[in-house]
Amino acid sequence: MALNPWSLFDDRFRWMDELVRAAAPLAREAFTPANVFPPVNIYDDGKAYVVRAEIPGLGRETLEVSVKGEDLTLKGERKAQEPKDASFHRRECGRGQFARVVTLPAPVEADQVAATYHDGVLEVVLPRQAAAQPRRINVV
Amino acid sequence: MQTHSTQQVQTPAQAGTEVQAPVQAREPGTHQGQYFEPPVDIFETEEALVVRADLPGVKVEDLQTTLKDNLLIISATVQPLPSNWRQVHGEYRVGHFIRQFRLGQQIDQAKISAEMKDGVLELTLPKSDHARSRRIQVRAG
Repeated sequence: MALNPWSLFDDRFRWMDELVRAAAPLAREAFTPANVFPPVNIYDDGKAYVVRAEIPGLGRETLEVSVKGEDLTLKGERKAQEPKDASFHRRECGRGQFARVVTLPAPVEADQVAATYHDGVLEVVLPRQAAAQPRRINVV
Repeated sequence: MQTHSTQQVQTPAQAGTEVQAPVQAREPGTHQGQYFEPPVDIFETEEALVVRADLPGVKVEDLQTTLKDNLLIISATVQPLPSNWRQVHGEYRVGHFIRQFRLGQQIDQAKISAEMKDGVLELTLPKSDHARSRRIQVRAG
């Protein structure tokens, strides 16, 4: 077996992930840390999926949201906005373009999808197709 | 590139030295839930030190920023999501934010300004007059 020196870095935070996964059932949330940007959370409000992504500081005009079938595509860019003479002491906030496709658990009504961007959070509400809605069956 | 000023030259270690204080145990009882340290950008211009923090989901009224004895504390709470939402997939966790820095520079506290836009807090901390670098004119003798 080849020795991979980078595995040390992979392992560094693994105990954290494991801890979080172990605690997830307690918090009643499914949590899988993403290595892609932006990380998304998907909620179900009974009729629609709500996809929320934390993307602070985004130029609204660069934001593109599109839906095709069960795929939701998010695109945008966070531009650098600092004066020319700035000398940095810390630089932790990400910059640049992103594009991501999120596959939803069921087909959605593409023409009824609504998206908002408030306080750095992108929220996309995607109503499920009628065929994918749970139907109550009367028992006689 | 950093142009070194004549006085109060800041090294990255000085400016915004993070205070190793416990993140938990703040106002127990009033704020429940998880706290996260927001990522920040800190840069310096001729006139000011600028701190930007990513605080997605934070409304202006839920933000608290204090500066006392050069200790800058940024804390914010996020509003809970509707309780009938069931999470089906999760890649990030939602929680409140807190982070503190020890500023290594003299700040003109009366002129501090703060702006919140699209989940990004921008604090402009103007340097006090004596901390500002001055160009010294040299006369030809």
